[in-house]
Amino acid sequence: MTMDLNQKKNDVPVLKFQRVAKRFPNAQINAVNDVSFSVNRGDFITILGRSGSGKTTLLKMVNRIHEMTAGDIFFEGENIKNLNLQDYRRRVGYVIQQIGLFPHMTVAENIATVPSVLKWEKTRIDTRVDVLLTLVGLDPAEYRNRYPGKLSGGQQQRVGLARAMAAEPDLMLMDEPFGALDAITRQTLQDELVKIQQKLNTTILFVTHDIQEAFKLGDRVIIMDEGEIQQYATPINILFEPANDFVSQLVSAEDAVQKLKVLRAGAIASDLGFQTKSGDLRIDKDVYLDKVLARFFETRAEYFVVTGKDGQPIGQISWEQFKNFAQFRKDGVDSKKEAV
Amino acid sequence: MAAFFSKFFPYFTKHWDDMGELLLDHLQIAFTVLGISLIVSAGLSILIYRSEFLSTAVLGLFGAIYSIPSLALFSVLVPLLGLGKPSAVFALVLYLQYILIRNILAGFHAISPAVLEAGAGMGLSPAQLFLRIRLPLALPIIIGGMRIAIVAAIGMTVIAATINAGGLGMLLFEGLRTHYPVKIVWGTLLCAGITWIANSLMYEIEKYCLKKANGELPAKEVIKSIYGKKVA
Repeated sequence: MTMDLNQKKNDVPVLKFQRVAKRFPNAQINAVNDVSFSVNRGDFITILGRSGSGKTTLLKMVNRIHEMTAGDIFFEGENIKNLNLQDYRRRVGYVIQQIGLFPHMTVAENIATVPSVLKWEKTRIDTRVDVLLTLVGLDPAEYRNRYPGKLSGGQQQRVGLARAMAAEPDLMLMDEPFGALDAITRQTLQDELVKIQQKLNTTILFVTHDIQEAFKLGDRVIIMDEGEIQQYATPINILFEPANDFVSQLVSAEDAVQKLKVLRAGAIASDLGFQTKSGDLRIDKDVYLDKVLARFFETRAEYFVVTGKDGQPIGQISWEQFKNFAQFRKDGVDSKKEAV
Repeated sequence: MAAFFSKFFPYFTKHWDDMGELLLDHLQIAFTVLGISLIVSAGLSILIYRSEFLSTAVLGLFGAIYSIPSLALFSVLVPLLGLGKPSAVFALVLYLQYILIRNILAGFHAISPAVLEAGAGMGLSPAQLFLRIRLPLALPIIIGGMRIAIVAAIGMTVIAATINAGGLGMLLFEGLRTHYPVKIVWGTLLCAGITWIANSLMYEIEKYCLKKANGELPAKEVIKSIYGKKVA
């Protein structure tokens, strides 16, 4: 019985938009217009668009900060209009650019907000706070009792992230969470978020206006413009098969090096086609292609064996193939292959 | 001058019980006024908080009332409510609305919208959001308003003695009427004394609330770890 339930939970998309639209009062046009898409468990989806494209409105309709004016949104199969607003929001983590930590509460009290309204036991909350602080790279002993005002912007957003994850939400909404941070801190937090997401298999919806960030973080990217989804696909598909002029213009602005920085080895690996030997050089599927290029130069290898989550070989990248790909020739990549 | 000092302290030893009574009467009026004013201003603030138009209108109205000299307002109210405490309390409550409502609104409007959006987005109910977030963050400015209000109330209660409301003003005005400086000075000193004490007390509370709101107090856990061990 429980197995069936779990099975069912995994089959149903975590989030499903069905012809959703939003028109703000006194506006002439829809901020979001007739949008449908779905997000599966464990997906890291980035939403990319200019300001005014409707990307933030789209995100904020999920936790009903903005109410949709048409259509339906389903959360784990249930129409969110039928869910108790507070109960529902407690199952959805929320991180915003301005962070919004409660200045009069310690780091621990901030993180414990949702667990405490859910009436968790104190020991469970304390343990959870320490686990989360460690996860976001802050030493619990040092930071637990500090106040937000004494933290740097990067540290504050780490706490913001921990607070949003406190009650093990089924979905995380992130609205340009790293937008106000300096470039170095931003990059560190991006890398850590990817690691955390892979470790916990969290489902994330992440809004950004930064193409690199969108492509680097997202398993799939939603490109928004004028309130509509222009394309919803893997980074590699967007780069090679832009759905329309808007998308192709958007991605053509990026040069080859930038593209290598946002695509991962797994995305361009071709079928293995031979038995791996112990002397083969291996590379993880999640390594970005600029690092792969560096490895080619360092090792002068002819090819790398690409390995999956458990270290098992799942494909290969040859130097020839890589060169073709880096010149963005389509034969460099098996275009039918989905990014892993 | 020597005559003044020869009467100054003997007056106290002779009349300290009457003076004490007037002092308590004064405090009673001032705190009754403050209590009623807080309830009224809190209620009005809730009603007008969300509307910029209403906020401006109500503050404008009470601002205008605040500018009426107290003697003039008392003389308008006496025909309606009669001589004595009711007229005085009513007038003073009217005066304090401006100070209190202005600070209550300012306190709640000063909270960062991001903090409120984060709180609501995490699933805090309106009541939880109010008690855990809004109130503690708005409190320093509200307490600041109460501090000014209490000082104003103590001061204006003196004038209320002109319509026979009681309090230290009775002593002071009696001294004026009978050309008896000792009474005037004692009245003034006592009045200044309680104003100073009330102001200092409220100021300490205000500072504490401000530190609390800004996260500058030592955390509870830290206090526990320092003092808990000594006690145990």
